[in-house]
Amino acid sequence: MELKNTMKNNNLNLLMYNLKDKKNWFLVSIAIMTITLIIMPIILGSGINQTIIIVGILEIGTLMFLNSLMDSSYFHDNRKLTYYASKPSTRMARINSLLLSNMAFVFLLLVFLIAIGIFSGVPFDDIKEIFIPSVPWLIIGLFIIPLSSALTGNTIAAGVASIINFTIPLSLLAIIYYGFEVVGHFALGFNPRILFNSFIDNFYRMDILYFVKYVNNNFSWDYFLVLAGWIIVLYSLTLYVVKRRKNERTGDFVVSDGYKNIISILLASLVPIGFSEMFYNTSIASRITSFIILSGLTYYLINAILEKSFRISKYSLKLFAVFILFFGLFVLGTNITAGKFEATVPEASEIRAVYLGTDNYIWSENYEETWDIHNAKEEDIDKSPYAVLYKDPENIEAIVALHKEVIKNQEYYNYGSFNIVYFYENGERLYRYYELTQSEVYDKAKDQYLWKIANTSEFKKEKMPFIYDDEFYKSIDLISFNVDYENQDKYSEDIGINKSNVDMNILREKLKNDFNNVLLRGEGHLNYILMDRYGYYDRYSFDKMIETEAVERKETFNISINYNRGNIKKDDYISFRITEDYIETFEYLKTLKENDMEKLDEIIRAYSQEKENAVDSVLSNDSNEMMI
Amino acid sequence: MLELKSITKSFRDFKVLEDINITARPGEIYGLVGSNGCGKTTLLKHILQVYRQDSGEVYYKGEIVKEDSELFKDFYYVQDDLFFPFGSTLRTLFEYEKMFYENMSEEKFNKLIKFFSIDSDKKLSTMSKGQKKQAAFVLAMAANPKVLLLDEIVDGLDAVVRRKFWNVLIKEVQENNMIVIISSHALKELDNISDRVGIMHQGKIIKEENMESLRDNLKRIQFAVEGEYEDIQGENFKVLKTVKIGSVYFVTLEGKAEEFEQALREKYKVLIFSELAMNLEEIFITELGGTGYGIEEYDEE
Repeated sequence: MELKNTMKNNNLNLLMYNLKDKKNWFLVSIAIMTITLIIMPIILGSGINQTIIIVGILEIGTLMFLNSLMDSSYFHDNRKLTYYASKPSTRMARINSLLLSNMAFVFLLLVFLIAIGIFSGVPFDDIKEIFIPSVPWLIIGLFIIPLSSALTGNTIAAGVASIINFTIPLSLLAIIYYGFEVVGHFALGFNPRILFNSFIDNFYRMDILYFVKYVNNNFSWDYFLVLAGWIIVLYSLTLYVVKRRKNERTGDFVVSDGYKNIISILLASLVPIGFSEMFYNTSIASRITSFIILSGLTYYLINAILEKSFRISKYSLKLFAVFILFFGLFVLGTNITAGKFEATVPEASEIRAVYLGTDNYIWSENYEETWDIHNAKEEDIDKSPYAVLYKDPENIEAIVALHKEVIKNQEYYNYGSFNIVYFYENGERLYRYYELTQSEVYDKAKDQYLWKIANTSEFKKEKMPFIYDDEFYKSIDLISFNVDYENQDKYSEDIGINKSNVDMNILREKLKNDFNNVLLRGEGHLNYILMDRYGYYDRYSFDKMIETEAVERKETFNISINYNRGNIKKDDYISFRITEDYIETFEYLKTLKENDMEKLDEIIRAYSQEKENAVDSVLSNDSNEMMI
Repeated sequence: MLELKSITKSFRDFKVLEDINITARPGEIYGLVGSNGCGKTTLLKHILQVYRQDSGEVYYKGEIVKEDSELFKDFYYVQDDLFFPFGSTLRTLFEYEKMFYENMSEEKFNKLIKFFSIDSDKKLSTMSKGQKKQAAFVLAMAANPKVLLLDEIVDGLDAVVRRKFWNVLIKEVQENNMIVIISSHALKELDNISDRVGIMHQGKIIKEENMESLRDNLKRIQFAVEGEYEDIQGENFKVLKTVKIGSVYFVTLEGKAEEFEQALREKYKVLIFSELAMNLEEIFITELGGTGYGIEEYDEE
């Protein structure tokens, strides 16, 4: 017992000695901070603000990094290591003393920085906002540096390892993302982005791990729990590594075989992943082959650097073989598992409603919120502007047929992606995402289903409510209405048509007739029909895309409308490009432009007559029905 | 007592220590000698657990010595390639080390710096190699350790200082019942002060014995006989090496010299016969020669 007490007292003395030893470093650090954070901003006239606090944190981080690295450098010099290790003091005491003295060093510098901020009038909330994520980063850095130093054999390697170790969670994220991309390639109908987002939202919480989540949030115990978790893990790991450290390997880049393997495999994964963006448009087989080749090459080079030899050991070869085997099993397993799910297409009779659209999120009715489409509620989709929740059985059948067609063949004459969300009668839901690859062939196989849907009143009312939904039209307040005229030379001018001199009822009627004709012709690709946020079909963009003769510019009227819907704060905006293809609307606007009163009267008369006929027709149908 | 039992260690595929067994007793100086790169420093670092053995144990006072063990309070190690913390003087280092060694004696420290004429306030980094060695030795002695491990401690010292060293060391060992293990190539000096010697070669202890029995066991005989001498064999002796200079033969013998003399006289008419004393260096060369080390002749094809 007596001996143990003596050791404890020694450890305390050792800490005090180390703290005294830090005095010069501390004074130098204070001088650096005074010059760069107080004197320089005053001379330059930029003043002391939140940016200076960020610079201060960066300086403290750098000073802490260098200081801690130097203190831990005894791991990297055989003489020093032997000297300290031969003294009757425990490894734990040496690490504790190193950590505590550096903590005190960082703490005092942070206090100095806060004092600079407060005395310069930087609001405390601004300082707090910077400190919330950065102070835990500094603390984690303090623990990571001795760990990295114990794992490595020289100080430069320790510095590099510290940065690598700090970013391991991020590196793993890149690997996980790549994994999901592979899944997305094999699993037809599965969206890698959504799988990945769902993974990081539910399991791999980077925002919590790096304390970013807490920046704008109120006080939370989680913050301290996560920090404590980091400290416990890193401290335990450091003691474990120091205990098992092969001191005889001091001078090597990395002294721990396990860490060497982790680094080799990590880099052998990350480097090909980094390059994989270059091969994004190639086939999955080419991408996997390039991954394996680049991975092998990186693994060999990393081994050559770490081992300081171009010869690779049998163990390293075995390890790489295991890694590739694991990768192969992942790819194969994904392929097999995906195969079981990707062919699932529901029967139309089982479906109560279905969403079909290109956007990955939808707006709420009042534009105040968004929801990811893969987990949006049925009623939210229903209320979302322009997003169509199809309930008409014929439309559901068409969508199911389109779904089957896409499973058979993912080629399309225009690259595009779209989502399908089925809502079953029994309350279940099924989400699928498809990316279509671009094909030179203008194949209408998929379009036939789309145009069938596009010509239903369900589609028209939801997508183009201004034209097709009378209830909707009655509920809006027109804020502005403008028409620009654009001639063949693309010269554009305001022609003075506004809501005071245009008959909106006639305009809507003309638009309705023209859109009916355009939609009936069944031309135009998926994107322009399915895009949620751009409901009104734009013929010109389509023409340009497939380069038909119509791409030749003609006279165009550009209609811009701003309106407000009842109690919804945000104004809505729609626009139409009216070319000669929109015969009736074009004629009406041209008449207005030319101020041809005679012709205008004729149009108004024709419209009134048409309306009367429509009323008569309804009445006669009613009386016939009554007679029957 | 400090005992090393079956210590084995490999650096990757290279075996640096193989089944090392050593016993060092209190009040004794143990001389650890060996060929270059044979593993002497490595062995000392294993005693301190700076390096961990793959198998075997180090025992001190019957207890297994492990890293972080409180037994290390009794140990002091002076390494060959000395290290002193940045900017330290002998005085500041003494203060620093006082934190670790509860028996650190200021009185002895002052006495020793006076004896070695060292400036205790001079920065250690500005001292010569020999001065640094003296400084390290002063600290080691002032710590009053029970186990003192010295690695090439007299390397770089002049003869006068060496003599001072040995004087202090012998006195301390006798007075404080200290265990001292000295790794050194200064075989002639070790010969005079060592009680026990371990000879290392290629990671193995090829011989470990008291100096007396080592000398008893290995002998050099000088003799001349009528006619040509051919090596003779006996039950209780073994001729290790024979060299002829003029008409006189020099034989290095392991075992009993009397029986060799008797066997020689039975076979030859012996004209001269005398037994010569062997020093540690000769014993060392003989032992290593037995392993094939250093037996090559420069002009030999």
